[in-house]
Amino acid sequence: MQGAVTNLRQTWEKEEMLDAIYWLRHLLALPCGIVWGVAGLTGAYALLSFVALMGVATLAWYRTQGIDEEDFGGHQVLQAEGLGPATALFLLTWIITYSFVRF
Amino acid sequence: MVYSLDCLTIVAVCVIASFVSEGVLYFWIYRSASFRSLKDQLERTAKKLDVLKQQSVAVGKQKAKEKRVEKLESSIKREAAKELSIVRFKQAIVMFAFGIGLYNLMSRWYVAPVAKLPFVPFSFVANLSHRLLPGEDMTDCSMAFIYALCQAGLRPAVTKWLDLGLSRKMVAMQEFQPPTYDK
Repeated sequence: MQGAVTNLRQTWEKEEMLDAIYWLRHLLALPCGIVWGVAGLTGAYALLSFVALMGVATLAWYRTQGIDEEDFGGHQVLQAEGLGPATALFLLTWIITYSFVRF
Repeated sequence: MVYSLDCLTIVAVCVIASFVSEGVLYFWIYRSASFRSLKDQLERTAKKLDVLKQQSVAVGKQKAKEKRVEKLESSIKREAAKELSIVRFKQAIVMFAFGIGLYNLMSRWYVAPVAKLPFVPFSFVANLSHRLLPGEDMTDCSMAFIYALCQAGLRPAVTKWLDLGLSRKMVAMQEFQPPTYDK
């Protein structure tokens, strides 16, 4: 996990790469949920904007690692990694923060 | 402030339950000698398979390599399918017992809205998010929805972080596809 954040262009095993993406997405979901809740963002667009941000951030991160996506199963596999759990975590923090701040 | 404490309590209970269920699985399955030897054996074979796949061979020997890889993969699949399906069955029993037990218990405690949704859910989500709640305000959130989000978002993270059970490689072994080679 630490390596995922600090070591650019290290060599990656497939499992390590997928684990790093999984945890990075969780790290992104938590503060985003809090920010969305505090800012009072509402509606489907707020959720879709997070999903889009997560996709772009993941793409940007593994591009900075200088890897060949095909070695790791392609964009589809990398983008699907941790998508459900991270979105659920985002929804959870967003709903809790929104309820806490607004009500 | 009206809702938040209920939400946090549900989240805390779910996180604790995730740790407890992983503990139960550890004492029931993961610490047994048979599981550990199966894990070692499958990981060794998977490494051997990775090495074999990465070996470059002469053009004429490509067919022989394919056959060796296929043979090794089918032997892994045979070993993995039987043993791992038992492990996964036991995992499913524990998760089901904890999931249903906890849900039944908490649905007795939380009969009022526990949070306010920042969006109006689609009808199929509303069935869960407004479950057993009075009134027509679809942004009222029931315990069931928060619980489902905990199960979907927090439980996998706890399982992954503890890393006691099946590794990603072991799960993948049950789903081996026939190899494809560039011509």
